[in-house]
Amino acid sequence: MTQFQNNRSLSMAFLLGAIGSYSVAVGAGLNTDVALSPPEGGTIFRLQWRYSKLSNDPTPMDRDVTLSINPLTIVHGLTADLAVLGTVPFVYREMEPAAGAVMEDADVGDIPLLFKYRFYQNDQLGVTTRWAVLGGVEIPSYDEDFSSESFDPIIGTVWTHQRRDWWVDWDVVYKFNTAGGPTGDDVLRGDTAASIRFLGGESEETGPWALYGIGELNALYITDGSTQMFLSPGIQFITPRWILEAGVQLPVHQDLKSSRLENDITTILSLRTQF
Amino acid sequence: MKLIEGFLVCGVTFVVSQAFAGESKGSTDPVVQLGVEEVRVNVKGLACPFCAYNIEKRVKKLDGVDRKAPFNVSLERGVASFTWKPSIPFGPSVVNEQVKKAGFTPGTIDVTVSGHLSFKRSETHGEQGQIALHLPMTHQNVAISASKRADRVESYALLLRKAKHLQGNSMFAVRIRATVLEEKRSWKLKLKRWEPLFYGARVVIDVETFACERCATGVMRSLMELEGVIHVEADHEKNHAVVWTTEAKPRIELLKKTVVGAGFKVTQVEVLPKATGSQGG
Repeated sequence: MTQFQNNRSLSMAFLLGAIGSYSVAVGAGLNTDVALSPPEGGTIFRLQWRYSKLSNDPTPMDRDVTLSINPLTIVHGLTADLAVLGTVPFVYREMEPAAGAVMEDADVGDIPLLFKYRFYQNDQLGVTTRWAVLGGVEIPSYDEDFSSESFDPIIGTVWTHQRRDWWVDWDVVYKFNTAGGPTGDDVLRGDTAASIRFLGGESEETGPWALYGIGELNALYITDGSTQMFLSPGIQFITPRWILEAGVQLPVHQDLKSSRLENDITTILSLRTQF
Repeated sequence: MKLIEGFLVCGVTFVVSQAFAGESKGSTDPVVQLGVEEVRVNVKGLACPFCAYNIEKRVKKLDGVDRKAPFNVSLERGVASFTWKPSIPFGPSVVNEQVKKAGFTPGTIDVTVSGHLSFKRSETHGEQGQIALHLPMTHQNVAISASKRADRVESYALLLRKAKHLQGNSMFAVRIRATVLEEKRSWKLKLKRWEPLFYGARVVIDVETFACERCATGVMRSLMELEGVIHVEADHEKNHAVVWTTEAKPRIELLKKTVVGAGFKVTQVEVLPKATGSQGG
């Protein structure tokens, strides 16, 4: 396998680990999507800092990798039920082989552009259940390290049930990699998230606010046979205009093929605001 | 009895005319703008603080919403409340449309609205007649209907009695709290509470206990029979009755005697200062 292919595989490993970055903007979860969209004409911005350590390189290079990924996500409500969302992942990678100099890269990864349509909604006092479908394409950035260099269709579905004191959501997303070749594997991702309100209140000055504890289970399947599962605990502080959230993503199962590196731990810090 | 009512109407008319006269003489009292004042929308599906902004963003697009006034969203009650400009015609459909665009399901809408009371006998409503509120700034006439709750039935009966004795005098101004009932091309009000907008004094009479709602409404009826009393509200949970009078110095002993005569022990009487302006009453 060439160095180029190794880099691609490495990028795929990172992107798989961070695949949630395109699906997080409209959700209440750290890594998952939920069916709550911005209002018609409303826009949500989300900036994440995801800091990851990858290791256990199966190749003779025995690389240790540090990744810093800063996905900027913008979601805009076209109607109450239809939203468009795009994510630009800014990536910084530091790769340290067993022998040789440390290599650094910084660039932009592929840009997913998705439409989300909510086809089911059941609202009661303080309770909502929603179901939406996702569809779009991942636009290649043509970066030699962080891009599949192909337009990859994405489809998915997301379901959420939310109450004032807790919520759960579940999503499944499939990405068709049209690149072909050794790095052209499709990806299936599934997330289950649950959250409980620890503290909360409301006043005329600040409006409602709440502190939530969140736990997620993130699962990945790649068509080369690789599987990964992560547990992601975290906290969220939510106000009407801002969400500040922090958490970690811990691997609970990793069986990786094609010279992919294992994720050790990912630290997540995120800020959301809406206009 | 008719004589008493005649005095009452004259008294109220005098108070109203004095109130408006005060304004024309450069009184510091704020001008009362009759119309829809506060709107409270029950919103279904509102479950997280971040969602609260969606409602505010969409509803504030309406011309009628006073953007300088507070816009409150309560997750606990599932309610968005805001101030409406009395000069802009109100309609529940435009509010509901914005709630839907925010991604939620609109529930009932409650409003606080002030206007001139009127009464019309009609074939549809028979001798019972129909009471309505005229909103002079937007030239809207909104019909008022009764609720089924016992205390509100009584409150409606008092308003109906008041309206029947207006005898063409459209200057009796009231503030009403009501649920909005949307109809095909219009809307009407389902009365919850009402109070006169202009009055001489307001008296809070605490009683030892109202055993039940019926006891409270009985006291309401007794107090309403007194000369100079414009309106009465009795709350059996708070164990008090509130009396609006035409007189600035109400006859406290007579009020107390009436409550005692109805079978209840008076523990305290407080005369509240005359309210003025749009927050009055």
